[in-house]
Amino acid sequence: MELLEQFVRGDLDAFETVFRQLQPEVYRWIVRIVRDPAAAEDLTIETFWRVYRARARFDPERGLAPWARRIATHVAFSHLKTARPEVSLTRDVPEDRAGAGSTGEAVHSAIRLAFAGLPPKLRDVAVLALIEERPYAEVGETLGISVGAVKSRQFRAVRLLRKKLRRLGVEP
Amino acid sequence: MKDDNEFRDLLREAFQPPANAEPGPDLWPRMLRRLDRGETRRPWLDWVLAAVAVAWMVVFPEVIPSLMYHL
Repeated sequence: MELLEQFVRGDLDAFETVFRQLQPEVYRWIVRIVRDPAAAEDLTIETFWRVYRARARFDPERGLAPWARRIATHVAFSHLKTARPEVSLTRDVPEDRAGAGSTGEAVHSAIRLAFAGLPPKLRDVAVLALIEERPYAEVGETLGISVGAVKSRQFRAVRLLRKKLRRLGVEP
Repeated sequence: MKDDNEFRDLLREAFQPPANAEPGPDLWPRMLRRLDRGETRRPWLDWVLAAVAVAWMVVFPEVIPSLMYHL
């Protein structure tokens, strides 16, 4: 806890310790989203810059890792939205790979793009509950919302993802 | 259409870690350079929005308390 208090006060040594502890996890998470190691390094730096800049708003009771992870999620998906999309139009998804049962890279790219287009509140829940398979109670605690709200947002996220995927030519 | 469980499996597959996902170089020196650089330049749109907000408050000063409340 003392380390986190020093970090919140702006101590650079404490920030370096935090950085070295969390960097591998943050980097691995970002590269899972953007699939580009070079971009993931830049986005890791950007994530920790935002973590450092917003340190005064950090709540030590909630843990630094989940907070950094949420910031990394926003940074990575924002990058996906602005970078040249791997799959942008229906015609980019080959017909034989877009149907039911297909798990080709084009479909996976479409899924990541669809995630990038979700509203942040729904995306945070979808990432934690659907991708990470964290229990609803833990997701609620991490995001500061009730279990009911987690379930509701997950339901809306799934519905919206299916809709977005259909627009990208993928039958979800 | 896939059922919910199949759809969730598909979502998880899309976010599987790629091979060689470990960060190569030590990123701390780059982090220090980023800290030295500080804030990046604000996009021009931010300046336009700020100018519009200031002009709005000059023309309609009664909105200032409401704006302060929401900030």
